[in-house]
Amino acid sequence: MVTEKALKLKTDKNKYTFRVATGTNKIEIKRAVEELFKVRVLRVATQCRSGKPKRVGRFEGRRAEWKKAICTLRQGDKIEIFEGV
Amino acid sequence: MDIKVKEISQCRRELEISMPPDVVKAKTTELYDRYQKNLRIDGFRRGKVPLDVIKSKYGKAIEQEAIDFTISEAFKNAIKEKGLNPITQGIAEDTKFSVETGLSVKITFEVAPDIKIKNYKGIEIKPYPTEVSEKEIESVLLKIQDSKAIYIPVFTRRARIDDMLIVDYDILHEERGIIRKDKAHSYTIILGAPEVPEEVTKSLINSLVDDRKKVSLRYPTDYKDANLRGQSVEYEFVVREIKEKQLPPIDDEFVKGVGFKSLVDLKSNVEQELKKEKHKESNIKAETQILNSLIQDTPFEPPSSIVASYLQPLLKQVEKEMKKDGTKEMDAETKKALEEIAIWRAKREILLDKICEIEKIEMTEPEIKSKFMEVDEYRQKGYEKVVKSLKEKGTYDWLIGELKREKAMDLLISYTNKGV
Repeated sequence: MVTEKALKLKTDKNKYTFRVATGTNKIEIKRAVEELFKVRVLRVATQCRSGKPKRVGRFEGRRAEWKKAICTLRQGDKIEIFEGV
Repeated sequence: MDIKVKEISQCRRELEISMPPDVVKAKTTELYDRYQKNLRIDGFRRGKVPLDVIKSKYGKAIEQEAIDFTISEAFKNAIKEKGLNPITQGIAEDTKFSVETGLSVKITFEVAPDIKIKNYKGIEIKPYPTEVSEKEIESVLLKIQDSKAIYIPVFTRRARIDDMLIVDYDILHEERGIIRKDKAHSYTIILGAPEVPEEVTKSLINSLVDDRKKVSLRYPTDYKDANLRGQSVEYEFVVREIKEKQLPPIDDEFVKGVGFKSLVDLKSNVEQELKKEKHKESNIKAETQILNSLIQDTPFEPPSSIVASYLQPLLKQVEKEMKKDGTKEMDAETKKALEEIAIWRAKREILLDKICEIEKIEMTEPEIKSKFMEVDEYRQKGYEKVVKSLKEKGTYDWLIGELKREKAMDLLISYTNKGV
């Protein structure tokens, strides 16, 4: 994820933020990140975010739920695709 | 900044501009700063988007914008520095930019040709008669009389020139190789009228009511009706009615019928109208003679952009007329003739602009206002609204230029042997 807060976490604390599938757990996230980006994940924090209520005319609905994962990497590790975004 | 001017032709120039990379770099930084302050990207508050994010998303576009802006600024400065006066927008070609060598670009554009008008005072022109003769007035009266003619049916006599014949006819004509038969009822023919083919007039003359006449004719290839052009057609006419043309006598009743109190009134009005027409014609002839003389004495090549601006509307107009007539392709002769007209008009514009420059002719606000108010449409809208809408359309400056040229033309007429 590329947001103001995510970039601040990355720069200050070497924490990388991802949007992940709602069914995944911290262990799966850790393994996936380590395998995909060849880094060492020290800690994973997750947040389940409920979708915002939306209304189209008289129809009320809600956006899909989603999950955010913040991965703390070992000092010195970095994920290239986040650089310069 | 290094500028080289190359004269490609009398009115085409090429500027070769080269600049150090710092100029583009400074402009790029300036643009990044501006975008960073105002850009909105999802996930960031306005003004808080990091430069890296902007660079990765829009870097190439911003760099191009900086190059374009630098080229446009450099072009402006270069024409100022070299004292050039472009009449078209510059076309940038061969743009090269690298961080090491900087920016280099070639810009081509057109300039008004530098002409020197030798002598524009005292041009000799042949006077065009503006007097109105009694004969001309009579001829207009006869035309009015003719337009008010009535047709009375005759039953016993044979048809003659100027009679109106009501006919039914069968027509056999070839259409795409197939012979087709058509019919028409109660069709009106004026014998001897220019639009009626000679063969038809010849055949129907001396006919009586209920007579049958056959005519075969081939329409000329330049006939105005595209459906009949170059076709062989067979007509079989049945004369249903013969009507004799009767002209009303030019008396008080006739004069009142056309909206005048007396014959003297009508004649004086006709005379005034004829005089106006002749004055107009005389002015046009004088203008043409003056301009032709100036064009002959001042040889130059008009810029292609000005010629094109006159040629395009002419082509469009002719194409529209051709569509109406059913002609598909414009022949080379017409195209050449239109090009010659466009060149003549372009030369007129340049020459008169030069006269405006020499004589310091300008249009004052009251003059513009009074000219605009002569046009009904503008008068109804109001001066301010008209000026605003013309400026929005971008035609205001051209219109003022045209008014200045008109003024220059009047001045030239006053300088002629006739005007002095």
